[in-house]
Amino acid sequence: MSARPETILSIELPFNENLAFYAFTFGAGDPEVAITSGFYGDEYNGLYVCHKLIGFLSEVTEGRAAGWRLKGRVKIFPALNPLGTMAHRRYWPFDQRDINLSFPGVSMGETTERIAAAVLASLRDCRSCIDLCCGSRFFEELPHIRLYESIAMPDESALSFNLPIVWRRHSTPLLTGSLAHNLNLRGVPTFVLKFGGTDRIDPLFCERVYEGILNYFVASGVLEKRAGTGPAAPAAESPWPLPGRIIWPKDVLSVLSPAAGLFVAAAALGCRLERGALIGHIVDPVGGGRIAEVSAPAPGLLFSLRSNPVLYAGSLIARLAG
Amino acid sequence: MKTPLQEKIGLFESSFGDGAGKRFALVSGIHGDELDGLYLSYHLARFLREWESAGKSIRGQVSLIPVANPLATAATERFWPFGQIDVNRCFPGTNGTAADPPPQGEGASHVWAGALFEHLKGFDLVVDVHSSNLFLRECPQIRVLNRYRAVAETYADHTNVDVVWVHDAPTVIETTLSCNLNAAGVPTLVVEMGVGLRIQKEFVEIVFQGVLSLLQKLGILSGALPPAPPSRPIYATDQNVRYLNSESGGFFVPDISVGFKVEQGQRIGRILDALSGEVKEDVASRWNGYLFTIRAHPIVYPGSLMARVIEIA
Ligand SMILES: [Zn+2]
Repeated sequence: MSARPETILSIELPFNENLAFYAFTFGAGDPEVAITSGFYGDEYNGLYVCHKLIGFLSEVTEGRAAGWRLKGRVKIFPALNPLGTMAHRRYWPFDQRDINLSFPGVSMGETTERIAAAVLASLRDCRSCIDLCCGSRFFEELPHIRLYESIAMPDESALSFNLPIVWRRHSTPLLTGSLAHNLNLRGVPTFVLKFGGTDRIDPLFCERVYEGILNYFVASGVLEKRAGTGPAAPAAESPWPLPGRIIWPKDVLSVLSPAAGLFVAAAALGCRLERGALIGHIVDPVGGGRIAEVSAPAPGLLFSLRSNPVLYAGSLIARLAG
Repeated sequence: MKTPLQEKIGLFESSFGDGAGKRFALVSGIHGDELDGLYLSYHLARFLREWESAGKSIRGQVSLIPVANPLATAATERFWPFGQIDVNRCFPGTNGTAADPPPQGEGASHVWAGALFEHLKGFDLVVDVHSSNLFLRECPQIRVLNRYRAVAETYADHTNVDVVWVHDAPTVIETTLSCNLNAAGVPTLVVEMGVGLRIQKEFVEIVFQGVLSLLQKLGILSGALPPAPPSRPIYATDQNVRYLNSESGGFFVPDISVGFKVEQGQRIGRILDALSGEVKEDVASRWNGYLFTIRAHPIVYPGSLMARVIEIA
């Protein structure tokens, strides 16, 4: 095993145990790219992608992956909320704080602030960061990238992930505590990769994201692929048209629920919908009737779809990239 | 608001007064696990009913909205239960139409916040009552953003509390009810007291007297009330507030409550080890000053906040 596990933080639990936070580094050159995952204890897609990356990079550094060479460094933080993952809690289980809203953190502060400070300190040499996460627990997301902030971001590097959408988003006040915002402020571009949903593994999406990350590694000079070397994984037909598209807030259509009820989806994630195409129905679970039909207000690619059926009026049902 | 089961959850308000004067609103329970506002509202409703039935006038309007996040309070939760969303990070909220989508994720809590915000816009003074959280016990205090310090200075002497904390804020505070109301020109005071999931009667009594003197100041109540003595609260700022954090993990047993002077070196509690019977840490004030926050939750991690003291030279 050529990964170097490094304990970036060890927290003394109240009852005589210690909880360690690990990072794995591969390679010794420059630049360094970081992968963060597992801020939310109910998300598993990121863990699975880290598993695949750690497996592959171990082969590369041990010379078992013919044609591949690591030029830079890759630092992987697979599980940044280990207590949450163990206890199946989305946030830090003790006080329900969101670690990914605790940045830049405080090294002698509350636990979540210590975690944030330790992660940020450990990222001091990285040139870019990839944060792996699902959407909220109510949605499934077609794999896409979110770029917060208005820092100059080379579009080619975001598109090299081979994902269908790069959503350039304004930061909200709430997100100023996020890792992405704080790294962006320090001049480290951070790609927030959203894919799939909570409480499960979406194997196809994980595969695409894994291949996309390797492609980005090659494009950014971290990983070298000798000519003629096949892809790390068999190149399947891309499930979406490439290259992907950069979209801006004005291109994103939010479909909100007009009424409270139970949502039953009719369209599938990744569909390109025409104006008026059916997205699903809102039904009355106790009265038995249909309350409303939900359809696309304009044409677009369905890239976020509600997976939790419980709706209030104003609940977000879907997002379309127009 | 209609629920998915086609029932209704309502934002209930009880109003007193003749409408011919200033409008005052008391809001509490935006965090569903903060309960002192219930008891405060009960006292006020009772007082105002008796006041009216004694034939005395209430000039203007007093509105009580004690359960501002009913689904959470019913579920004994702090946040909007569906999705664990902090409603006090959802303001100014949205109107639920596609033209006004929520800034992130689930929309219902933003719609709820939007309705509450719109409703409160017409008031002359709003008091938003909070009861800390499960971890810290607070003496009754006013909190206000530095940029709205003038609001506190206008009213704080009439709130009967010992402490006004004027703080600079992280950006996230921009999404609170009080910040948005103040920005919209509605003077709003945040009152913090006690600890989550408990009612601290003596603190509620202090704030109750404070609200009565605010109502006198606004001219809503007058007449036979005894004149309220103005309080002279201590102003806490980012310059004089000191934070005491633990060094070890364990469980904390406090020596004292909160809301009085402490001396440098004075022990306020101990962090203990259940297995060995040892004392892991004596928690002592490092300053002379006024102890306005103390840890209420016994479980302590290294770095947990144990106390806040306003240093007094
Ligand atoms: Zn509160």
